[in-house]
Amino acid sequence: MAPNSPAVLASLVRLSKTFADNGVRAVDEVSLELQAGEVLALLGENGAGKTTLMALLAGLEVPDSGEVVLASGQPPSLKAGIALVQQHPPFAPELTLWEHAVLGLPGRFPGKKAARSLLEASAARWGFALNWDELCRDAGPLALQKATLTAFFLHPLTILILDEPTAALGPAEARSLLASVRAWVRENHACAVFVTHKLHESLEWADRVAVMRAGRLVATTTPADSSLEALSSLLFPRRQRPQVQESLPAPAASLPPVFMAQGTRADFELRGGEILGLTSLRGEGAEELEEELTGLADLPEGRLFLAGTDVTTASIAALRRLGLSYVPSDRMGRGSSPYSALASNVIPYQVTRLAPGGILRSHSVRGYFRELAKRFSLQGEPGQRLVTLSGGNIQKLIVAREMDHGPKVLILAEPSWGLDLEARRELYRLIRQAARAGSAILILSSEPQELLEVCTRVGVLREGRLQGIRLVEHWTSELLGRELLGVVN
Amino acid sequence: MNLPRAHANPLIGLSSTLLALAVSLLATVVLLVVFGSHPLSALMSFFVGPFSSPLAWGNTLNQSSLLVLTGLAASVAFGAGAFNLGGEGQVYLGGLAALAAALFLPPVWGALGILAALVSGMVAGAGLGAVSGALKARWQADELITTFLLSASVVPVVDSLITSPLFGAAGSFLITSRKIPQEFWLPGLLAPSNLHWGALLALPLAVIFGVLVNSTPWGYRLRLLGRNRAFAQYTGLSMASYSLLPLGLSGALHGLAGALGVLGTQHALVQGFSSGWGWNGIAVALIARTNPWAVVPAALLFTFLDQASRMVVLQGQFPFQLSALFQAAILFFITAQIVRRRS
Repeated sequence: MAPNSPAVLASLVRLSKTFADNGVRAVDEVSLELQAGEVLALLGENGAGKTTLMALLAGLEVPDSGEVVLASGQPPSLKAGIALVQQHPPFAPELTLWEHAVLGLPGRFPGKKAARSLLEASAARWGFALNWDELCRDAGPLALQKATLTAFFLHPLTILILDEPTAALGPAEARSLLASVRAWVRENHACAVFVTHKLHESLEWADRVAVMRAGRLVATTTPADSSLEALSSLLFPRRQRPQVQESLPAPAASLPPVFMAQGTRADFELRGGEILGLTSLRGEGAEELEEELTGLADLPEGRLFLAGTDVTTASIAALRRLGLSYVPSDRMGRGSSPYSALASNVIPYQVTRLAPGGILRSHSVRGYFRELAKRFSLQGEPGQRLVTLSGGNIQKLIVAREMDHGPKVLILAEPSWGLDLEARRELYRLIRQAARAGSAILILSSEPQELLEVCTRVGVLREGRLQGIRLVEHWTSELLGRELLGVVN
Repeated sequence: MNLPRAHANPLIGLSSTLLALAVSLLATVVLLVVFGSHPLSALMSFFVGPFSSPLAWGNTLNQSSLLVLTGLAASVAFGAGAFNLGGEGQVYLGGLAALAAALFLPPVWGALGILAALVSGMVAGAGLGAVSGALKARWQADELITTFLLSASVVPVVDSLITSPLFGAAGSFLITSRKIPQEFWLPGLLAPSNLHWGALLALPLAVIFGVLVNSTPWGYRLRLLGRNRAFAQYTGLSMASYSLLPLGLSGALHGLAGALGVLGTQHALVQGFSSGWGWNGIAVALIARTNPWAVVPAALLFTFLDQASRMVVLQGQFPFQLSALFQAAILFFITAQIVRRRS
C-alpha cells in the first residue's frame, strides 16, 4: 500500500446471508473495504448476490453473520450516510416528483417552496434537468431515478450505492450520470458503488472492480490490471462441463417441428424429445419472450405454430388444449395460488375429470394429489397450504402439475431460481424424463451453466433478439458468456 | 385489497369467528349494563325480545331471509375476487323491475306473473352487475369503483321513477308507487309479521350456492380467481367471462332480494325501502368469510342483533344510534381478526 493509504469508509467483514424461504446462501463470507474517494464497480451474473450484498451494506438487510463496520462507528443506514438507489425505485404514482423526493426527508417538512429550491439546487449540481411538477406515474424510470438520486443528496452522504444505474439509460446519459458520480466522489472524499453487468462501463468509470459469483467475492482488481477478456472469464470461467448422465437420442430431423416461431425476434423450431435452452442477461428480452410464447402477451411480430396450428393469436385456454404446458418464472404470483391447499394447486386441468356428474368429490381430489405426489415424490398433505412448502418443493409441485398430462410442449422459465443443488438435480431429472417421453422442451434461463447441463441445443438472446442456436456440444460456458455480454474478439 | 380468506383448516377459521362474536356480544352486554338505566330489563329485551312474539320473530326471519340473499350475493362476488359495492342499487333496480312486471302483466297470470316479476328483478340486478363486469373485461375498470358509482346513480333515477305517472299513484303525495295487484302478492306466513312464502327461497338458494361454490369445477375456478387472479388466468380461464360472471350472479341475487321486498312485504315500491340491504349483505358476507354455507347463520345473527337493539331502543332506554353501534362492534371484531391474520 502507498504510505498515505486512503481512509477506509466502511469494512464489510465476513458477511453471510441465507434466505430462510428458499435456503439459498445469497452472500457467503464476503469481506471488502470501501475507501474514501473511490468508485467501485460490482460485477456478477444474475443471482450472484450483488443486490443482497448491497442491501447488507446499506443496512436494509441484516446479515446472518459478519458485520458492516463504518468509520463513524454507527450501524449502517441512511442516517449513517449510506444511500442505496434501486434500479426501479418504489414510487407513488399520484405524487409529483418533488413530493416523491421529499418523502422520508428527516426533520420537519420544509414547505413546498423551500423543498423545491433545495431540490433544484441539488439537481443543478448534478446537471439534472427535471420537471418537478410531473407526476411519478408519467415521469418514466429515468426521471424517477434522477429524482430519487437528487433526494438522497439532501442527506449528508458518505457512501452512494447504485443498483444497475445505467440499465435504462442511453450511452450519453449513462456517461453523464457516471461522470457526475465520479466528480461527487472525488470532491467529497466519498465512495460510490455501482452494480452493473456492463463490463466496459466498469473498466471506464471505476477505480476498482469487484466480481461476485455464487455469493462469493471471487476477485477485486483495477481497470489498469484488467481487460474485457479477463473480466469476462472471471464472470464466466472455463468450467468442466458436467457429464450428462444420460444422453438423449437426437430427434429425427424428418419429424415436423411441434413448436415453431417464424418472423419473430427469436425464431426457432422445436421437435419432440428436444430440449432447447435460451439464455439472456436480465432485461434483455427473456421476460417478454416468456409471456409472448405462452399466450399472456401478444406477439409483436411474426407467427407462432403449435402442433401444426397457427397459434399467434390463440387464447391461453386454446394453447393449453393444444398441449402447451408452462412453468413460469414467477412461481408464487403466476404459477400457483400460495394460500390455497396443495390439492387445489394441482387440479386446475383435472377439475372436469375429477367431477363426474358435475360434483367435485374431495376424495377423488385427494386421491389425485396422492397419486401425483407418489409419482413425482411431492411433499405435503393435500389440505396443506402451498406457502408452507419450501421453494424447491413448490417448484416440483408446479413441474409435476404441468408434466402430468404428457404435454406436447413444455416451457420452463428460470426453472432453478432459488433451488439448492439437490432440488436442481431432481428438476433436471424430471425435465429429461419429459423429453424422453416425447415432450418438446424450451427453457428460458439467465443461468447459462444450467442450460449447458440439461439442454440439447442452446441459443443466446441479446437486446431482445436471438443470436443463433447451436448444438450444446458447440458451446462452452466461456463462449456463452462472451455471446451474452456481446464481447466480440 | 384485503379479503377475508377461508382458512385451510375450517375449524380454526370457525373457532376464531366464534371468538370474535363472543367478544363483541360481551362488549354489547357491557354497553347495555353500563349505559342502561335498568340493565336487567334491557338485557331481557335485547336477548329475548326478538323471539317474544310471532310478530317479532316472523319479522326477524323475513329480514334475515333477505340478508341471506344479499349476503350470498356479496359472498359470490368477493369469493371470486370481485368487489361488488353496488348492492344497494342492484337491489333497488331489481325492485323496480319486479314492480314494472307486476303492474303491467295481466293479474290473471297469477303465480306465473309472480315468477315473471321475480325473474325480471333478477335480470335487472344481473344486468347492472354485468355492466361493471363488462367494463372490467374490456377496459380493466376497477369494479370496486364502477359498481359503487353505478349503484349511486341508479338510486335517484329509481326514486324519481316511482313517483312518475308510469308507476306513481295518481294524486298521492306519498313517496311510493301504486300498489301491485293482489294476485301478485306473495302469500303471508305468521301474520301479522312481514314473513311471506318468498322468504323460504333463501334456504334452498344458500344450499345451491354452497354446493356450486364449494363442490363444482365451476366454483373451484371462481375460488381460484378470488385467491390469485394471475394464476387463474395462467391456467386458461377466460378473464372476460370470469369478470362478467361473478358480478352478474351477484347482481341477480341482489335483484331477487329487491323483487321479494316488493312482492312479499311492501306490495309497492316505497322510496328507500331497501336502504342498507346491500351494505348489510357485505357485512354478512364478511362474517361468513364468503362461504355460502356460513351465510345463513351469519344473516340470522346479524338480524338478531339488529332486531334486538331495536327492541332495546323501542323501550326508550337508549338512543336510536345504539343499533348501529352494536353492529359496528361485531364488524370491528370480525375485521380486526382478518387484519391480524393477514399481517
